[in-house]
Amino acid sequence: MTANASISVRSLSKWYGSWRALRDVSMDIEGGTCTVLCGPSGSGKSTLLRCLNGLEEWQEGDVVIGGVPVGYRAGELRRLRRDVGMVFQSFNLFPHLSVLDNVTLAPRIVRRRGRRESEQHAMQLLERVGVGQHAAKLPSALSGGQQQRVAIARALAMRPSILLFDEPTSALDPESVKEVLDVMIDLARSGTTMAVVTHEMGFARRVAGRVVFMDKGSIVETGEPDEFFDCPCTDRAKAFLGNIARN
Amino acid sequence: MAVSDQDMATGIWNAAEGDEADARPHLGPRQRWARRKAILQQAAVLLLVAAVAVFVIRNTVVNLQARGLASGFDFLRQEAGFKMAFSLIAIDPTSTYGRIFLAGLLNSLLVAALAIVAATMLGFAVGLARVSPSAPVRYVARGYVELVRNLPLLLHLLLWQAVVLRSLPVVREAIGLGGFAFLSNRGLYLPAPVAGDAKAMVVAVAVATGIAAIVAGWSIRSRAQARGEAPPRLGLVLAAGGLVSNAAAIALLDWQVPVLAGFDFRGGLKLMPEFVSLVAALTIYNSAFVAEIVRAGVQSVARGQREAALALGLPPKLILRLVIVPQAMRVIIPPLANQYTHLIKASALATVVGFPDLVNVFLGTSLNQTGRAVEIAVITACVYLALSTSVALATSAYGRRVKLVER
Repeated sequence: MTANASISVRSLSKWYGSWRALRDVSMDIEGGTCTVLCGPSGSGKSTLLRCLNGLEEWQEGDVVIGGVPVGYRAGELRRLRRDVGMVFQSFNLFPHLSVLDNVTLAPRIVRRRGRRESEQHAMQLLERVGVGQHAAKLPSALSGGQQQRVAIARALAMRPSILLFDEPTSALDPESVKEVLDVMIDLARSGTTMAVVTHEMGFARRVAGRVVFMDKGSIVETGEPDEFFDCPCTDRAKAFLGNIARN
Repeated sequence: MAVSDQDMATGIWNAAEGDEADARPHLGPRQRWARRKAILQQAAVLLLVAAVAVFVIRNTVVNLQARGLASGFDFLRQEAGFKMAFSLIAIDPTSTYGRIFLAGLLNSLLVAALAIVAATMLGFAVGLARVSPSAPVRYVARGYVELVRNLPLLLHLLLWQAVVLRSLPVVREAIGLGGFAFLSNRGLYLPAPVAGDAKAMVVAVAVATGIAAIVAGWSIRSRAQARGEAPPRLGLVLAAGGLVSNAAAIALLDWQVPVLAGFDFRGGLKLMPEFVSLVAALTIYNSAFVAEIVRAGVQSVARGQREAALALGLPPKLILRLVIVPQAMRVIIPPLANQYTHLIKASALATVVGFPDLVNVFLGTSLNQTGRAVEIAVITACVYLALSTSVALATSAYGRRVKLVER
């Protein structure tokens, strides 16, 4: 399981037109660990994350997940995405479907699970993230934190081996941030392979195995959370941490 | 509970003091002034409208009397003395103006209904092609839309009329379609069941239940598919049963195949070339606008919705059907209703090619013969008003069903 869930990025480069978003990025994420990606806005951390499940195309380099290179044909990408769940900054729940249907849609269609089976599983997941009582509601009736927890349940419903989080708490008020982080901490401790773009230092310190700091499309520094936050090696990382600490 | 003016005036300031004050609606001096102003304004507008109406009606009556013109709706029971080239109910020279009105209305409805259904289907296909991931498909769809919507509808109509009339062979050399149907420059000849048969009722009921069964079966199937389940057997059985019952019913009818006799075909159903070109022109022209409405609707759906569906591994066709289109409908419905009312009104262009629609036979011939301009214009206007209003009501009812709570 954990060997299957490893991520390896090799010499990844991506251009938007003539602008280079990723410069020769290489990193490894071991199965069963949590890696936090951070850096100033425009540093390429979200772009890198979105390359991991093929939502972004890149020009050079490879992404290898569970030993298999990520392809670019539609069928290959669909098979990959069944095993790599993603949680977005803006939740992206389907607003015309109930919370329960949001969670069961993909398992039913992609995994071809029966209605009863997928609903039972969905209810377990919704209970686990603490929104079981809202299963019949439309997403718009829920608070931001509740919606994001539904989005996590939706990703989990596919029984993925890897979870990607793209700034999952950036659109939330401070109280909701805690709700969502608690769920994520729970997931990380249960041994899910996670790549998380976030600035939540507390989260990184508690569960991340490693912190990757990016700037201008390159990985500037990586390290264990405690050493990275307490004594960053590079000036760029020092300046960045100084800025977010001040805010 | 009676509330004195004094209480209401000070209500705003007392509001914070207790729950009772919170629950009371506050009518301060500003609200009372606004209400009085609104009532005054509305009364003024009503008066103005009533005055104009009285003036118009009085003026019309006086002028009609001055010219010795008859008025009233009694003409609807008079013999019209003319035939219609195409009608869904039997019309002969002894038919009344009332019956002519009904036949014209049915013709208009037939044209509009066919064109609305066809334009919607074609428009959805082209609109989805406009946002296809394949560039050639997008370009072709774009070319179609720009070419079609930038030419006047009248030009479309005349073009189709020319194509249908000029390029098809004369009756003697009619193109046979399997020996049952024929196409010539006089129109499309189709086999038709012989009317007045005793079996007709039974067959009609059988066909209706058959269609209902097919629709029910299909919707059970597609709903199961949308949930990603195997289609239940009941849906299949219903659909198959419906098909069999329909086929049996259709075979039971006495079909009359058009036969060439002298200068024209006898028997069967003849669709005038004017009918064919009118429906074709309305369909093609409106499909381009429907396509743009559909494109706008699809593009209005947030990009994150597609990404979320992709990230779950859903295939593109199902993303479109289960995620994008249901959300796009909210944006599509209001302008689509607008387009339908436009199409219904544009069907009056039938007059130009000589298809006997409501405007042609009623507002045209009937008005010329009876001289009841006011009555006929009012009736015709009311018909179009009623049609447009029912489209608006139907679509807003559907719109309420698909409407989402604001995100």
